[in-house]
Amino acid sequence: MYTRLLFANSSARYVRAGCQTYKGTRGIASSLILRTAEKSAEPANEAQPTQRKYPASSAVHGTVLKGLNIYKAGKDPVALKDEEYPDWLWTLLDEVPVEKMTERERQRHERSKHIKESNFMKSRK
Amino acid sequence: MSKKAAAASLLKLIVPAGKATPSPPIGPALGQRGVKSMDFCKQFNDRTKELILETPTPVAIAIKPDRTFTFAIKSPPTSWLLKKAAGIAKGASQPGKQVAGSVSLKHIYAIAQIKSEDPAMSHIDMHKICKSIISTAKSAGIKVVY
Repeated sequence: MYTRLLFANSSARYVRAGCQTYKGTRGIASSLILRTAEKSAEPANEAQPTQRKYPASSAVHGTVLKGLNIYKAGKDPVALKDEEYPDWLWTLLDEVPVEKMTERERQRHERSKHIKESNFMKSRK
Repeated sequence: MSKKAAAASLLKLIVPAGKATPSPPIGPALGQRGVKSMDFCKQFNDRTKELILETPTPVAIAIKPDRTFTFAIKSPPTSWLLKKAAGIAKGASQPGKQVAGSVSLKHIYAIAQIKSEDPAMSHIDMHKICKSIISTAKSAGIKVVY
C-alpha cells in the first residue's frame, strides 16, 4: 500500500523512493529506513532515479560518524549525502550468484568451499 | 637465514599514541636489542602528538647493529577502528554466529580514508581497501549494512 501511494505521487523524490521499495528484497526494514531517509533527504538531490538500485544508507546525511577521528585537532567525520559517495561503495555488499561468476571467481569459490569442508572433517575427530 | 653484520632487526609493536613508556612491553623489547627505550619513547611521543592520546599505533622499528634505530608509524588497527565505529568494546566471541555490532558503508568509507593515509596502503584502490575492511568486520562479528 505504501508503494502504491509512492507511485501515485509523481514528484521525482517519490519516483526514486518508488524504485527502491519496488526493488527492496529487504522488506519492512528498508521501507522504514526509506521513510526516515526521505524526511531528512533534500528533494533537490533525487535527480537520478535510475542509478540507485540500493536501499538508502542507514547513516543518513548529517549523521556524525562517531569514533572515527584519530587526530586531536580533528572532528568526527559527518556522513555525506548518499549521492556524494562513489558508486562502487554501494556494490560492496553484493553477493555474486554462482551462475554469474567468472571462471576465476568460480574456481576460487569451489576451492575455498573444499578447504572449509576438509577443515570441518578434520576437526570432527 | 640471518644475514651478516649489516642487517637491521625489525621490531613490530602496537603502542598507545603519546604514551610510550620505558616499561613493558616496550622496555624489555628494545632493551634486549641494546636500544635506549627512553630515546624511542621521546621520539615516538613527539611524532604522535597530533593523534588522540592512547590511540593504538602500530610501529615498525628497524634497529641497526650499531644500536641506532629508525621507525615508521602506521595507521591504527582496522579492527580497533571498526569497534569504535560500531560503539563496542569487544568483537564477537563467535564471529559468523554472533553479531556484536553494526556499521554502515559510510563508516567503512571513512575508515578507508584513514587507512589510505598509511604508506603501505597508499597505492591501493579505495575500493579494495573498503573490501578488506568489510572482511575484517566479518571476522570481528560486526555486520555491515547500507
